[in-house]
Amino acid sequence: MYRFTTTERNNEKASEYETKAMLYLFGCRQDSRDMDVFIIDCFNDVSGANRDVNRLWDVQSKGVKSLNPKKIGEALVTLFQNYCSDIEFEHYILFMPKLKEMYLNDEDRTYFQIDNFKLQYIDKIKQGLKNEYERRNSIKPQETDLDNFLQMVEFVIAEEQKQGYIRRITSFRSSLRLEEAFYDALFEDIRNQQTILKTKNIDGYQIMNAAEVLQYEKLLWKKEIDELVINRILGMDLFNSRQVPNSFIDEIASLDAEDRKDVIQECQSDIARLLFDKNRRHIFWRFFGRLLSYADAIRVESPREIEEQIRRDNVVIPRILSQKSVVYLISALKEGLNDDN
Amino acid sequence: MIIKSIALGNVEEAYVEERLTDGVNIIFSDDNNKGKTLVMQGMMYAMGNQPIFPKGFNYRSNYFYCKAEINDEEIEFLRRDSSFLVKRQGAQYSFDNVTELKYFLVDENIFNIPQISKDEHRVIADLNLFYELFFIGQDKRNPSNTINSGYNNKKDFVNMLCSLNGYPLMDMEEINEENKQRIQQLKADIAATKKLLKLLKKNPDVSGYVDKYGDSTQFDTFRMRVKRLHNEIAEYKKKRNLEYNRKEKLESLVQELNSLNREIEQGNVICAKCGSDKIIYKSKGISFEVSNSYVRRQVLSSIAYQISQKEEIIFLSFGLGNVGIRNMELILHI
Repeated sequence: MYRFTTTERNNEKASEYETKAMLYLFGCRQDSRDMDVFIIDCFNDVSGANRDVNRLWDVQSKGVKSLNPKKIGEALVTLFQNYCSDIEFEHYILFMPKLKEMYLNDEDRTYFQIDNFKLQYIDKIKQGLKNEYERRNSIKPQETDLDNFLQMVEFVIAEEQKQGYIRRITSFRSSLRLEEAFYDALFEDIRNQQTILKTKNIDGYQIMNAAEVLQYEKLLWKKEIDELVINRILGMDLFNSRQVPNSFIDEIASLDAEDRKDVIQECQSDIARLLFDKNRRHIFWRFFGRLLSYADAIRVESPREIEEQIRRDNVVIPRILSQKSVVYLISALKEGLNDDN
Repeated sequence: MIIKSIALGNVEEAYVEERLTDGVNIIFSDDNNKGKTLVMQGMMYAMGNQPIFPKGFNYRSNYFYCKAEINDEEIEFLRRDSSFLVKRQGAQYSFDNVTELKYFLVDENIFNIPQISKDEHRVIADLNLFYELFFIGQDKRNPSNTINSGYNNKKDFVNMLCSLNGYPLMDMEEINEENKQRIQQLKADIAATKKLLKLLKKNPDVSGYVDKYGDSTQFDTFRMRVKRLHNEIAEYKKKRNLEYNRKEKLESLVQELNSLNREIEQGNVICAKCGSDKIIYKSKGISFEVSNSYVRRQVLSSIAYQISQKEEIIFLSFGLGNVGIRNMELILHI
């Protein structure tokens, strides 16, 4: 008998932390709004950047249990190498699980800097980083660089649950109470995408400035993830006959009760077809992205007005959708966008 | 369940009872015809009970509202005729008929209503039966025949006990109230006919005149009844056909969705120069799936749910249509 123990388990945990780290950048920081794109596995596990890639947030994720100060120091090495590189990063972040309590002054904090470590451990961290740097680069780092860098590093403690990260990146709300399993499945979608991007190899390539990194397309745009999340929530809300989107009522108010039922069922069926059609996903996402770019207008104007607007603007609408289905879809979006709960 | 407030009325006149407390509430008046019964029955009607209002009260043009605390959760009901609006945790749900409301209450675990079998179909007991448990009528009336008397019988009661205790449902034949009544009615008819025959023998002239007059009024009422029943039957048939169409459409939708969700795979591409199958397709932008299996499951299960709900509505209107047809047969003496 042979029992597999290690192979994928660590990988899975590691990639889970990388996704959490990205979602942390997306929705949990004061400056989250300033980021537009996440660069996967180029400078580091994840780096956040603005549209022009002249502001960078560098994240090392370390999904390892029982980190001790020496290991923490070792984990910082990529961040430190980036610190020494020609590219300038605004933030250096180490994303990790909850630490053993005795290392910290204040154990309750989930975001802190080096000064939250008890004094005797700071040296150990520094030593760990120094040794690892020497091992990799065969030269000693500058003492002042080390000290300045450590003053800059931000430490972030990851949350156990995936649900919270997803909830924080979107203001779009479902009319249903969604289960944890839904959020887990959605997290999985994002994680898989991140893993696919990781497998693109760019080892040995050189760039002169940060913006050039865009050409490798190892990127996840915030907008894409946002669209994904809204799409999934919308899918859950879809076949819920008890709750027809409020703003759709105007559209069918003049019909009699039986005709209303038919229209609703047809619209729901069309959208279900859209969400099941694996082979036209590019068309779908292009349409969905364009539609969501009207989010502000959708919040205030009637779905019918939006529908007319997108037709005027020549947005390509998937053929599966009838005119009414588009209005229905917009009504459902309006519902989720306007819910302040 | 704790009732918090009750209201009924329309745009011209309305009554709101908000003084209810969490303890025992007594509603009384010095005189009759002050509306005590209306308040009580309006409360149950708002939550899906059958209309049992006093004659002469036009409930169809009134709105009924009831706010109740059920399992530590406040739920508001608003009803007009057969349309309902339910507000729960900030969300509004609308229903076109009592059956939809019933399913909602059962699915969301608001009420735990047992299953019984009716005409060899397993159905969830109607809300009427459920509300009977809470209502004790005036005088010597007993709750089992105050509301919708005759529809549920001893067999249903046994089945209810079975369902609540997790046993399979029983089917047993018996002479029910309906049959008993009919037997009595027929006996009374025979007696009346005998009397009439006697009268005929005694005085042929008078009886002939009475017969003629009676015949024409009888015919008029007969005609009205037949007409009304015809309309009812047509209405049920229409409803049934519509729901049947929708059900069919949903069933074919499920098949279509399953076929759409197959990725088309046809052979593979290789490099003509070197024969390598490592061909990279470079595309810009996202390749997220349009849905994930969790979402797809949700969509499919809610379609399945709608289909089953429609089945019950079809079955019910079929049953009600049959009642109409049976009445028609009785009248026509078929």
